[in-house]
Formats: sequence, structure tokens, C-alpha cells
Amino acid sequence: MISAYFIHLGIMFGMYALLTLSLNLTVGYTGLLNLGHIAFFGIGAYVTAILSPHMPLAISIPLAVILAAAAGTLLALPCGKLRGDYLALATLGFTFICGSIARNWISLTRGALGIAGIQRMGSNTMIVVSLLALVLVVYLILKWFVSTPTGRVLQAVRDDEVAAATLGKDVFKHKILCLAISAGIAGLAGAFYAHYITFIDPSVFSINELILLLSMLIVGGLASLEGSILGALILVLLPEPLRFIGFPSSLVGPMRAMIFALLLLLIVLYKPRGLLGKVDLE
Amino acid sequence: MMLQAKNMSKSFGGVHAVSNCSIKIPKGKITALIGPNGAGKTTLFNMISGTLPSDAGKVSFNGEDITTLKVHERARKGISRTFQMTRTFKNMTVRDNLKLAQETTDDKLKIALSKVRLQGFLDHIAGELSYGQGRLLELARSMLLPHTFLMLDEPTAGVNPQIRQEMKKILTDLRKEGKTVLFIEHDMDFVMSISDHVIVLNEGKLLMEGTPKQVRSNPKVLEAYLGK
Ligand SMILES: Nc1ncnc2c1ncn2[C@@H]1O[C@H](COP(=O)(O)OP(=O)(O)OP(=O)(O)O)[C@@H](O)[C@H]1O
Ligand SMILES: [Mg+2]
Repeated sequence: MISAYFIHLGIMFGMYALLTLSLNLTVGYTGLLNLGHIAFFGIGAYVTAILSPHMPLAISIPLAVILAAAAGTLLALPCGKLRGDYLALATLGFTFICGSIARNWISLTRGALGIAGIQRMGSNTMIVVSLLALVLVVYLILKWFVSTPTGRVLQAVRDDEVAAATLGKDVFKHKILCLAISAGIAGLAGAFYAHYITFIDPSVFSINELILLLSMLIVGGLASLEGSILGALILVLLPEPLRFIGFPSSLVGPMRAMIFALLLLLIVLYKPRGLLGKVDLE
Repeated sequence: MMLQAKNMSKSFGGVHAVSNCSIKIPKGKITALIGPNGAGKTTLFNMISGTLPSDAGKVSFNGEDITTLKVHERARKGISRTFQMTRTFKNMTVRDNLKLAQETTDDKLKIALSKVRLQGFLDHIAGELSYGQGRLLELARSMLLPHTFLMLDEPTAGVNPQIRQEMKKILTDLRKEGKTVLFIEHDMDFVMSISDHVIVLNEGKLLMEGTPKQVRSNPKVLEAYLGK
């Protein structure tokens, strides 16, 4: 029982770590205020949930990643023109649209009923081990990537895209690349989620999840990959003690939200760069 | 001709920042662009490098029409520039700022930095440099970018007098290497001592152009600077 509980926590941490790491690539490293991240997660989850009855997971999961990355590329198109707040609004709109499609394209997604009985990926132990290994691999790859010349251009785009362009950098192309990679990783996390929980419904596109992700990112700090892992760990573990002090389960949800809000407030007030952040919040 | 800008115009609301202005920049020479505050110098610079879309006009570089090219495409043709308001990558190290211009070894970067007396700052965060140091970093960065044409918007502003003198040497060395330089400058001694050619802008229009001597002795130029 106890080990099952820790395995579940490990899986939740692994999923949020993947999401926060990839969100950091867009928000922290490239400076794109991307509020569409949870949509890529949902797209990944839905794609493999819909496809997996018809093909092996070894094909449906990569397809989930590719389609999520394609959605990221699509979302990058307005990024050429939109800056700051407008980009945030556009990407948030994208999340709503995805949720709306999931609710209304019933023949494909079964609407609000959701898709049940999704194939399990394997035992929970197998899932937690492979997910944590994946977090490590993604962390190492991103760590390497941000230090390559291309990764440097992303950071230059964040700091001053006009200056980056005068140094011959194709800013638009780099924004597309960044969003595609980031969305692909989020889609992978979504696919793990679908094949672990075995059920998804349109609530995967919820704004609460987005806020939780942004909290993890901000607590951990922008442009710090270690920070993203730490942020995911803290926010996954933080509400857990509530379960054990005999809190009525109906209050656990609101209490979680309050704890996150309080934590965010403390961070913004006292440690605006988050725990390990390298750049300031705009 | 290195660069030719023909009939350039730009208005901001009702303000005609640049109106129907044509300039030519000779190859391998140092050209100064001068004029009173608000004459439209920076606006013209921005239209040439592409950071500001022009209302009208045509820019050709090395005989090739670059009017429709994007900023990064113009840069890749060999146009490098600095900004009047410094634009360094403030969260990045000096090293990374320079490497964005040219992927090269620390040793080469240090040589580039020593030209502007910033050797030893390689690991500093650009945003933590002083104002003048930031300008010098931007100058070093613009020179590292592979280029044939360098545009500097008030390179000496906020820079101490000794480095100003060294900057003269930096610019004349560039000329020796065959590079073309266009710079905006308010310090007349600086302009007169190193320029081969001077272009004077006033109220968005070309007032006159010529050698430093011709410009200095032209009454219209004095009038534009001192008012009637
Ligand atoms: N982005 C802008 N929006 C509105 N007006 C502008 C803008 N940029 C420039 N202007 C106006 O255009 C005119 C020319 O400005 P510009 O910066 O080109 O002058 P300048 O010759 O570089 O002056 P200085 O020597 O002071 O730098 C000024 O009247 C200025 O107020
Ligand atoms: Mg100016």
C-alpha cells in the first residue's frame, strides 16, 4: 500500500517535471509567455488514447509526440507578430479551443464522458522507473541544448529579439523550433498520463492545471532546469501531508489551491527569481 | 558604392522623421552622419538595417536591392550595427553576447574585448555592466559579427575620453581592413578627425554632404546646429 502511494507520487512528479522542464524552455529560455502548454499535454494524451486501440503503443505514443509538436508549430505562427501579453492571450485561447474540441467532437473524443479503458502502459513500477529515467534524459538533453549555439539564440530572443535579428539570427524560426520541442515533450508527458490513469476527459485542458504548472515554473525559477525539477517536486509533495492530518477530502482541493497561492505570493514578494531562477519575471 | 538609400521616408503620426532622403555610402571609407537632435539620423539607420519598416524608399547594398529583406537577412549580407540605446542580452554573459556574433574561442573573444578595454569581463552578466561598458560590449559584438559594413549609432556617447581616442584607432583600423563604416556622432572633433565623408541631415532631409572641410565651412550646417 505504502509503496503504491510513493509510486503514484513518483509518477505525478515525473509527469509534472517533464511539463515544467519543457515549459521553461519556452517561458524561461525563449521568453515566450506560453499559456498553451497544458493543451499540448492534452493533445498528447488524447492522440494516444484514440489511436492505441488500433496500433501498438510504440507507434501511438510517438505519434502523440509528433502531433503535439505539430500543434506547437501551429501555435508558433502567431508568435512572429504577437508579443508579451497578446501572445499570452492567444496561447490561452488555444488551450480553450482544444478543450472545446475535446468536449464537442464527440465522435472522436466521446465529449464530456471522456475516454475510458485506455490501455495501461505496464505495471506502475515499470511506469515510474521509465518516467523518472525519461525526466533524467530530457533534463540532460535540454541542459545540453540550451548551451548549444541554437540554445543561445533562444536566450538572445528572450533578452532582445531585435538585437538577435541584427546578428543574423532568424528569430521566427527559432521560436517555432522552441515551441515544437517544448510541445513534443509535453505531449509525451500526456501520453504517459493517458496510459497510466487509463482514463481522460476534457478536464485535462483545465486552467487549474495550467496554473499549477506555472507555479512550479515560477517557484523553481525561470531559465533553470534544476529549478523546474525542484519546483515540480515541491508542488507535488507540498499538499500531500493534508491527506494524513485527517482533512476532509472535500477540503483538500481548496486547501491545495490556497497553499499554492500563498507560496506564489511569498516567492513573488521575497524571491522574485524563484528558488534557482536565472532571469527576472517580467 | 557600398550602400545606397534612395528616397527614404518615415513618419510617426504627424512627425516626418525622414522625408524623401537619399544617401550614398562609399566603399572602404569612414562616413559620418551628423545633424541636430531629432534630425532623423537614427530613424534612417533603422530603415537601412531593417529594424524599422520604411514608408517609402529603396535600399541597395553592394549593388543588390535589399529593401524587402528582413533584418537577419540584411545582417547576413554583411551589415552590422549598434544602437543608440544599448541592446545587449542582459541576462547572458559577456561571452555569450559575443558568441552570438561569432562562434569562436575564448582567446579570440578576449582579444575583441581588449580592444574596448573590457578584457577580464568575459564571465560577467551583461545586464550588470555599467552603461558605458554595455555600449562598449555592443561595439565589440558588432565588430565580431562577420561584416563588410558597420553602422554605429553614437559610439562615443557615455564613453570616457581615453577610450574615445582609442575608438578613433579602432575605426581607422577597420578602414585599413577594407571595411566600410557609417557612424552617427555629435562630437565634431571626433567626426572631423577620422571621417572621409560627412552627410548632414536636418529635419529629416539631406542638408548637404562632402568632405569634413567642406561641411565645416558650410554656413547652412552652422545654421542648422545653432539655429537661425
Ligand atoms: N518610435 C518613434 N515614435 C514616434 N516618434 C519617433 C520615433 N522615433 C523617432 N521619432 C521622432 O522622429 C524624429 C527623428 O528621430 P531620430 O531618433 O531619428 O533623431 P536623431 O537624429 O537620431 O536624433 P538624436 O541625435 O537626438 O539621436 C524625432 O522627432 C523623434 O521624436
Ligand atoms: Mg539618434
